Amino acid sequence: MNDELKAKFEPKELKALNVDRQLNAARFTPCGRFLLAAGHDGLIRRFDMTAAEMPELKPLTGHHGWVQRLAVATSTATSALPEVVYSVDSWGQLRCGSFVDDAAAPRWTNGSAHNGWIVDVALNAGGSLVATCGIDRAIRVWSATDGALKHEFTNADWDVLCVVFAPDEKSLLAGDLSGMIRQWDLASGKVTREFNAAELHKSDRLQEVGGVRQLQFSPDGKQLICAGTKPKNGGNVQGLPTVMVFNWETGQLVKSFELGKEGDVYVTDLAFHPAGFLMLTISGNPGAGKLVFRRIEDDASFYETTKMPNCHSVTLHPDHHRLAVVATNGGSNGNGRNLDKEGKYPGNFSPIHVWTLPAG
Amino acid sequence: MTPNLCKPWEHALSRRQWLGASVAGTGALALGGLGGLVSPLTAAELNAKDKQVLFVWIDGGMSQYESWDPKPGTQFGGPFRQIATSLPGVNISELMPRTATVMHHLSLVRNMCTQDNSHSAGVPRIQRGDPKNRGVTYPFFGSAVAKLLGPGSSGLPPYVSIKPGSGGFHYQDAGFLGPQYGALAFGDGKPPENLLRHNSLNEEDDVARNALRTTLNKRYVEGRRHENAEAHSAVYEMAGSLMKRQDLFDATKLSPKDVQRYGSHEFGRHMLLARNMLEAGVRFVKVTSYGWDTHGDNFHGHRSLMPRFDQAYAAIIEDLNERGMLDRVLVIAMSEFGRTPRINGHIGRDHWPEAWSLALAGCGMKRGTVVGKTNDLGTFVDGDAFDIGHMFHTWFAALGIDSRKVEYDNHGQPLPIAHDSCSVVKELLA
Repeated sequence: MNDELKAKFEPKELKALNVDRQLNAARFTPCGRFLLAAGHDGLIRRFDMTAAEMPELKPLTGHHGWVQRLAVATSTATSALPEVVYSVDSWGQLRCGSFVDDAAAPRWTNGSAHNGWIVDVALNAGGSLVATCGIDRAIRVWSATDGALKHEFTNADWDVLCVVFAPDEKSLLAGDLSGMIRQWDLASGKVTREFNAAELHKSDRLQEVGGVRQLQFSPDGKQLICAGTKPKNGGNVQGLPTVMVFNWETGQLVKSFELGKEGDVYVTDLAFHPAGFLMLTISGNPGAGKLVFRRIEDDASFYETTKMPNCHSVTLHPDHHRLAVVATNGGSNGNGRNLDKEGKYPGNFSPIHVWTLPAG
Repeated sequence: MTPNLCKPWEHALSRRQWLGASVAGTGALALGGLGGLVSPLTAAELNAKDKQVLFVWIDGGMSQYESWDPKPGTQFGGPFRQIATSLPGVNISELMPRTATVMHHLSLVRNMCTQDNSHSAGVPRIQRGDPKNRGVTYPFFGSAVAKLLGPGSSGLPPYVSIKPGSGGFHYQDAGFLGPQYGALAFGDGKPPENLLRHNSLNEEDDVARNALRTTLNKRYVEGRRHENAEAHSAVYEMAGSLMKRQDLFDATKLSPKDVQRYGSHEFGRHMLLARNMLEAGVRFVKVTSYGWDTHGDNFHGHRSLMPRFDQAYAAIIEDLNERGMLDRVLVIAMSEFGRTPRINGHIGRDHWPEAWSLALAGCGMKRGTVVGKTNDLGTFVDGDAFDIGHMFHTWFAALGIDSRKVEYDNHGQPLPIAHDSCSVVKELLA
């Protein structure tokens, strides 16, 4: 542990926002006024971050199945359309709509952007393009303004689990279930480079386990970060939560590190803090979850908390002083008929833990 | 959580080890006794003797939500959609597009409610039909069929098991029936090692050696229980019959088109071997698929597992139908339980015996029917529920065995062949 960094950046929990359903991901809007959360119930929950109590507002509707991921501009200056969120669901819909006005018609939608589960969505730094990928093994790039299809790469051999635009915005990186990351040149539609993260995948009997679950560039654009798990087995998936760092210029793997034990399993989300460290969420066996702060160049994380079970997403507020983590209620698992006090069959839910971060 | 992955007796199998296992089995026999039948089979039942069974065991627990009973867009429905099938009005998970095209051949049971939520209790209990406790160990369904219908005229073992990992002779499956009704397991679909007569031994010497063995066996059993020797001999005969059918295991004889249709993955290879075993006349073929205990990452897991199941399962239904075999081969696809509606923090589903589904097809079953239903959320059965005992009665009936009349004889103790508080599900039968 780096005690100096810990002292500077150790967060304190401010509040847990209670949601009655499970959530996949959360993102602060670039203006900082809203916290958005993607739900298993097809809703995008909204919270008013300008009020001390952070009340829940009316959700955004229009999705089906699970809302899997959300993409918002990194700042108000880089959005092709103002105050919109790009959201994808498990029934193949890509949607662009206002995150301010729940009653407003969507700017545009595409109900068949993919055939089935869209697993990731990413916005380029300029805010003009949206990329999506899914279990139909396709990668598609859309105009952020009107939803027109701009590029399509459909010859992937595996489910594509995550996408990110390259810093120069001329190419797209896509990570797949096999642990391969491919760089697609947008102009030619060809793969120009491959990054091998095969240790994030395992074939176990009939199951292909793991894959590249997260892709991001460091803020300076010099490092490509990918994350997932080093799987031990399928079924009740076990594995080591793992981060791999590639030098963007050379393509070489420069670092790989693990962030827990086999039961901790997946790195589920990551975000960069402007002070130069990664904030990562981890979720594995029910009850196992962590929020981790770590500088890539260090040999260990400088902060970890296991207070929140099964963390699935992390997002940093634009003020850099607030952090939100999507976690899971305790006691989320169990075989057989476990009824609640009223004799009803209980579902699980995802508290959103809001933390404050010191100025650092 | 998957205790069946590697049992101590499922070590790598050679013919010698296999025969050795049968000897161990005959020892166990002395405790359990060799079952007979109190009420013999009728002429009609004897006519049923060309009937066969394919038992697809999905070990660990297939999710009913991601397969036979989807509830898309509901609290526990998960991310996937449902698709229409060849049976109007019946939808299944989008992860089973090929099975959707053969649904008109299937009988779907969506109201299974069973007793155990652990693998260790559930796996054997389900496969033995969960009979009332009478102080004996009941046979697995495969052993029961081997006993009740016999080996048929193929000369092949009556009960074979094709499974990942190692093979062995699973005499424990037979319970009180006695070890010769156990399962001959082909690990990874391969025959026992050293099955063929060694090159150094000519046929004449081999025959002479077997004659000597028979003589010594007779001498050994004088004054001892004859069942032990019968069991021992039965296993030798199985080895002998397999020696003559090495072609069943010859992958070079498989049609590339079939390999493609079934899939080159483990389950596809094993299902294709199962088809060949059924064509060769094996009475009961069990195919086991492991790795379905998806407590974690259930949805990506089923996204990976289901298409492979779907591919091979639909292929064998098509083939049995096209070959005219579906009318005499009962196809059962099931797990020990389903998976919880609740999605845990590891995005997995746990064990759920309360409301789950299984699929039937073929011999004696009504084609294109769905029996039972769950409530809108899929949490519990809506209406009457069936236990595994109901299925055993129904399966026996489909095979032409009257489970109300035929009984086992365990050394004078009459025992029902299926749970006596359950009964046939008539709406499943043709």
